[in-house]
Amino acid sequence: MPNSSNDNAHGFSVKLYRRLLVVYPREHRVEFGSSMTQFFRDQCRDAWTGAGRLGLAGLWLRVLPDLVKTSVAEHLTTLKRRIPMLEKFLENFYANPKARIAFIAVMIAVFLLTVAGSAVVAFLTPNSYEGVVRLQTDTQTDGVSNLVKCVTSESVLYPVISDLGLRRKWGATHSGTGELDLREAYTRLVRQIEIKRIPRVTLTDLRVFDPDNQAAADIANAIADSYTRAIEAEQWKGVLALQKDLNITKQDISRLRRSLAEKAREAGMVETTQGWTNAPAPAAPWLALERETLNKKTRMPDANASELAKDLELAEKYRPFYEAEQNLRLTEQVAAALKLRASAEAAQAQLRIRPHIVDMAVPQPFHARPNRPLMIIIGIAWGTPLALLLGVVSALLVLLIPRRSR
Amino acid sequence: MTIMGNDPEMMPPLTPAVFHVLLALAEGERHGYAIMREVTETTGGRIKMGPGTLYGTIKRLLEAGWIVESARRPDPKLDDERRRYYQLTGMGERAVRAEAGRYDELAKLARRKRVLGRAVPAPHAGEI
Repeated sequence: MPNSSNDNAHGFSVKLYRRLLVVYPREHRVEFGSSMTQFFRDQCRDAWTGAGRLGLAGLWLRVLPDLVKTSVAEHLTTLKRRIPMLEKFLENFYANPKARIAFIAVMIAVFLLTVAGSAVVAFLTPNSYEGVVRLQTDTQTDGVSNLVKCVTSESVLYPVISDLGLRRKWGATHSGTGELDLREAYTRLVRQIEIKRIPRVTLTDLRVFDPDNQAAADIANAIADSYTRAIEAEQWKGVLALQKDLNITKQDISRLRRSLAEKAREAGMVETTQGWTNAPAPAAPWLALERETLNKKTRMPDANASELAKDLELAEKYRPFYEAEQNLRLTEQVAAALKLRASAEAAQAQLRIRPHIVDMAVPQPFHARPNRPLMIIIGIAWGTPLALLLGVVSALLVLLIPRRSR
Repeated sequence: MTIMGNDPEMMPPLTPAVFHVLLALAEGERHGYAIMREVTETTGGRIKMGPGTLYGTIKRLLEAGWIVESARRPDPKLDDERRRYYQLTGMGERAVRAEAGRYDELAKLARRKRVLGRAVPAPHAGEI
């Protein structure tokens, strides 16, 4: 019977097997990859039906050695097929001095160019210092992408640009126009930021790179400060909105109370400590009576009509008072609900973990970028295979292009 | 395993995997998983082929021209229409016959030498 754990176990096993097929030579994978996956899917289904998870584990124990053994065999077969071609190429290569010269010349030239290029880039790249702030981050923004989105948001970085005067500072040093456009300054600042989560804890390093070590530290501290304030404001946003609504409702209540007193005076009522004097029955039944009276009036004989007209007159007299009273009660209920919700939201906001700065950035004496030795090593690492490849290509071209007849 | 030459009768003995795959296809065309099930059933579970072994064998048999991929596709309502079916070619049939003949000769020889069809000696009393 299919169920979710069955589907999960199957799905995971099949997905893993499909990924493991990468150990086979490409042509074998292209030709038989989907059939092998289909085959394995069928095996998974049967193993699960037979013995559940244990069956699936047994299947993996059989399939993994099969995978290793047959992938090695396939690679050896592929290699054997290529050896005759390779032998022929080497034979021609050794017999042709021009091909040898082309191979060596191109290889050395490409290698030297790549290494020299990386060295030039490494030494021309200006020094950049880093300012590192360590933050205790909110559990809700645990994901790095969320954190990056939040830290590099306009609401966090615009105040930093404004507080540190980065538009003017960068405008003077880089564009020469005096002041950089806000959007341009924001884009530049985002490029200078790097965020790295420290694994298994809720700590995050916020790095800012700048040619000036003091500026790097100042910007990092300012961003961290702006970020923590923005998160705090976000957490209290709901409470503040509710409190605003509550204040408006309280003003409405005061207005409605004044209106009620006015309506009471108009109906000839006097306010005492017990309430309003001469107050007839509660509002809702009274208004119901008014409706009923009107209905009866349309059907009753004239003899009773004068009595009903009196009731109606009385209802008409007190109606504004009761309507005002009803409005007041409803608004008071709304205010009570808003007050309750605001208290609950405030309690929730108090309980949330607020991000805070653990370590502030200090100006570093040594530059962090570029890492020149690493750049040169990368140049060598790329240059070697590239040089070999282009050397082989040039030798092949020399061997394949027919000699022009003299 | 390498399958060399075109004449199945002149070939060295086949590996068990190749022979069983050819035997499974002798009854008609099958897809990969059906071949594996047939092999498992006919050998009483002694040979359980993994996907790597089976498709490695199929690849070599295709290259040798002993099997071909059939044009048949299953009814999509009954089975996955992406399944590929394989069938024996004339050369494949000759190869499986030649190999079976070799086994038959060996079985005859074993009988003549009384290795096969001989009564099993009764155990001594002390061995029980």
